[in-house]
Amino acid sequence: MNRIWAAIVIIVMLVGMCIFGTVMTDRMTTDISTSLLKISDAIREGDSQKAESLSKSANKDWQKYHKRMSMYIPHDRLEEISQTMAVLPTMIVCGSNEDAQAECARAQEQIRHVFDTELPTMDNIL
Amino acid sequence: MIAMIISLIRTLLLYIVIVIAVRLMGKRQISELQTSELVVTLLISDIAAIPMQDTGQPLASGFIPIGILVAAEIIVSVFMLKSGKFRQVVCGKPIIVIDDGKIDQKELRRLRLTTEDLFEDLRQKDVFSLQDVAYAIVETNGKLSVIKKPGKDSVTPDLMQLTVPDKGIETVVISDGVISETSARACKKSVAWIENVLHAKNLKAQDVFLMTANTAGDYQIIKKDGKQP
Repeated sequence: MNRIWAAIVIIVMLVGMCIFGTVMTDRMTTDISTSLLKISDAIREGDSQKAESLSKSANKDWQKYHKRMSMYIPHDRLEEISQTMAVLPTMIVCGSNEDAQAECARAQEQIRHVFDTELPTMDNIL
Repeated sequence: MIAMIISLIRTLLLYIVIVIAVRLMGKRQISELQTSELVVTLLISDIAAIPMQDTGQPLASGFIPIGILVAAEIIVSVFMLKSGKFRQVVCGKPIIVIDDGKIDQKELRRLRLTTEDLFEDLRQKDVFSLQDVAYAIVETNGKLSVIKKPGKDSVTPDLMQLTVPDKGIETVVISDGVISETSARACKKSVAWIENVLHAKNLKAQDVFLMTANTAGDYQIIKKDGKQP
């Protein structure tokens, strides 16, 4: 009978971990997406200084989230986002607005993809 | 180099998790695997290999499925213990392939068991002629159980109406100079009894390589090489 309790504890722990992971991913991706939206708005308004500082801050936040997410998300998916986030500040300062906007949209799409693939939806399960 | 160290640590962690998983599933796993147990064992080894080889995969991608498989296996085995019908659904039921000396061809076809396979299994059970077999049953774990015809079975003391003295269980009470209190208890002996035997033989425990004893009080001592009696 001890074994059945061990099995129940394992299941509860794992389900708890999975739910916690999904909630954390939701929070982190929402936070980064909001930052990217603000950067995109700043670029559209032509405020490159604000866009640059926002992108640097978003990059710093992403580095923090990357470490946490790499405990349960395949690393290559996170690496792609890291690369996009890393070039964003330089792109805002040196590149054209269109390029920076495109890079911003790319990062948003990659982050949305990470969250979407972590959701226990029928599409992902099947 | 760093990737190699990561691989090393990951492999050790996964090894620990797998050992715990197998221990949790129970000793039955190691010897005779039922259908569900075989599936779980194969899956665990496959799942563990992925994060072990690919450092880009989080360890959780190995731990979570292993944990769920072990928990599911334990729960299924508990249900099997409680319900015979459930056990039958998961493991199937034993099938008689030789009934009263006659091969049941329909069952052999259903099991996709050829006559060569059947005879191979019979030979492994020390049966070399079909005429010796009364019943043969394919168990749920795929092994063949054979019941020989009464006239072909080995002679036992009961058949000869002989009384064989019961010597009880024999255990290793000293292994490489170390007395095992647990083993002594198993054969209903105490450490004091072992020490008395050694004292009578003018020996110390550290001089003994192996000592076995049984419930009846019989014992055998093998001294360490180079020790004088």
